[in-house]
Amino acid sequence: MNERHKSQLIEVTQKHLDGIATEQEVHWLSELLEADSTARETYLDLQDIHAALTTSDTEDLTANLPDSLRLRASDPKEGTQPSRQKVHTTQLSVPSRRAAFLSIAVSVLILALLSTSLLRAPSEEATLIRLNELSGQVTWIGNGGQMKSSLKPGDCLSGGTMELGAPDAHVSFTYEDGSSITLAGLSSLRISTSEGSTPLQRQKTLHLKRGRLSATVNDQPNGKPMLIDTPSADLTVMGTRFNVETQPASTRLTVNKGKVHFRRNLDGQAVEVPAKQTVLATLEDQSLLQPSECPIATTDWSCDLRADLSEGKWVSQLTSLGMRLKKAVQSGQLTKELAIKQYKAAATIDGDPGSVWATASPVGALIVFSPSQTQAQPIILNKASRFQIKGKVDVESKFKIGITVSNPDGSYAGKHSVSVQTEHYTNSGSFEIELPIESFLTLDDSTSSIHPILTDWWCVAEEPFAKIQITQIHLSSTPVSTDHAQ
Amino acid sequence: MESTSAQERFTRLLIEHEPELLRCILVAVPNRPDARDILQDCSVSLWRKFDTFDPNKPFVPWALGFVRIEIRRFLRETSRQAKLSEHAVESLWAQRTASASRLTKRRAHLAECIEALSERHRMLVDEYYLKDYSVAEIAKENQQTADSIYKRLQRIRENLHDCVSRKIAGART
Repeated sequence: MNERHKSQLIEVTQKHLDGIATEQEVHWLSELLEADSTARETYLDLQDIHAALTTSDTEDLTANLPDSLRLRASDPKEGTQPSRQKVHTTQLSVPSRRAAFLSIAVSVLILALLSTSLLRAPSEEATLIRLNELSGQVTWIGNGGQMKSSLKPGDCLSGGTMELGAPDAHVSFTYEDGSSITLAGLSSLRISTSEGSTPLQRQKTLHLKRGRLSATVNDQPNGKPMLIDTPSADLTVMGTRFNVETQPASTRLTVNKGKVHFRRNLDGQAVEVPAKQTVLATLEDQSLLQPSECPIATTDWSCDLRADLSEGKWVSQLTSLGMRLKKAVQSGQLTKELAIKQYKAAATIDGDPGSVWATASPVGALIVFSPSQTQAQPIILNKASRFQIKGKVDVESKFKIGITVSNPDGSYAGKHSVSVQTEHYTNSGSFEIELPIESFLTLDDSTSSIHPILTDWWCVAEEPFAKIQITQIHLSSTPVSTDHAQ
Repeated sequence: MESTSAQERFTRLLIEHEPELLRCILVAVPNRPDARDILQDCSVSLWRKFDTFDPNKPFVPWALGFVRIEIRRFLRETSRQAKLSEHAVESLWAQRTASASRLTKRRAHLAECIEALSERHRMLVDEYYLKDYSVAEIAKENQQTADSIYKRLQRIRENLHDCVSRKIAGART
């Protein structure tokens, strides 16, 4: 590598490290790094300087300098910090992190700068949210690694990630401006804000990796809408009421009041979603992104075991059959031709049927189905609703069947469960249970009353490795003329 | 009780090794806020899988597996700015692992070189890296152009790079 080439490499590397290199420059850099180990060495040397300075939040480089030399006061209370546009979790944590560091080498400024082994105490970061209510397994992992699992209403939290580890978990919290968020079921939500001269002027950002979120957002400051990003879509919110449900490959938004700007990540298509409309973005569907009227609710549901699955393991019957036939051929019990014939016959007649098995989770062996993944129609529960469930379980295992329900506006309405007794099983562990809705909750039989909407169906055994297999779930009831969107 | 103890152990390990994990992320994702967001996502994944961590083995190599997954996800999903190719990132990681002791030596010299920076240069580095101010913000505060501030920042890093290289060469002779 000649000097001119090296100088260009250093310049482009620096621009890349600062995030200002063009697409073309980064492409050039990538090709060079792929092919040339000397270029990689130079990049790594420069990058290591960048990283050492970036991870040097152990100490202020200017700590021992006189005030007259400082470019600006470092105390945010003095109000001299410029307004920030970027929105990231850690921007809130820098001052408090510094304050919280325990360092035996604090007097050695530069060594502390590069230290990698200092322990921080839980910091007192700026409060972003206050918890209103919560239930089930809720864990908070704050920026910088501090964790809290014994949360309670009234707790104030800073930037970090809220993890709901059970289908019956829920948490609701409010921001200082009164905007409120409810999270229900298995969920992961990262919460952050940009800095602002007052808490009310901060830009709120939520990264919903998974789960169901209901929000009532008060009017946001000009130019600082609430941003919600999911793996498949980005939402921009000025002030409204809406629900978002996110799975790894899809996001559904339903707006109850106001409007929300919705952008699909797959191709960047964006739409304004007005009140009483819904839109779905997936990582596969490239068709025109178009909001649609919230459909009329239904009272019946036949679970699509594969598509509705949120937690658990889908096992194709054909896969099991294939393995059995392969073993039979290997042991000489069956000829290869006959095995193929049997396999083809099963595939032709039944398509690809299968069942769902519980998987181990922190709350036990767990299966969760979320019907809204496959259908936009809300499933309302009324007094006549009955679940029919077929499956199989270890004869000695006890388990619970539960449902999570929402209000017609999508907000969390509660979770209800019922224990399944061993007398429901046959000797082989098979069961076929019919559970009327009153097994879970009591509903008013008045047709004018508001009916809850089924959001999740789940079953859980305390023993994490208990074997539970579900082969069919069906919900039926007499129809009621209720407009779910009211 | 057991869960609390696991939580404490996890918190301690994460806090202790966070700078090293962040440095690994920065190899592929130099944008500092993005890198810190990736680290936050990683810490959630690490906690979820902490029961699979063997305490008799070092934490960092185990955690780096998760870091790589999160980085690959980020590189595929984010379209905000130009990114290195996955192949380039893999090559960099491989070389970084192979030259770990060289980088450690360089870091030790880097400390001396930073110490030798003028006060004003240290101030600029502090504003940019520790306080997270953008070049434009620093320029505005100092009533200078962003270009002049950025050039100064570039020169400081080039000087640090040269200073470290000189010290390494001097140590060899």
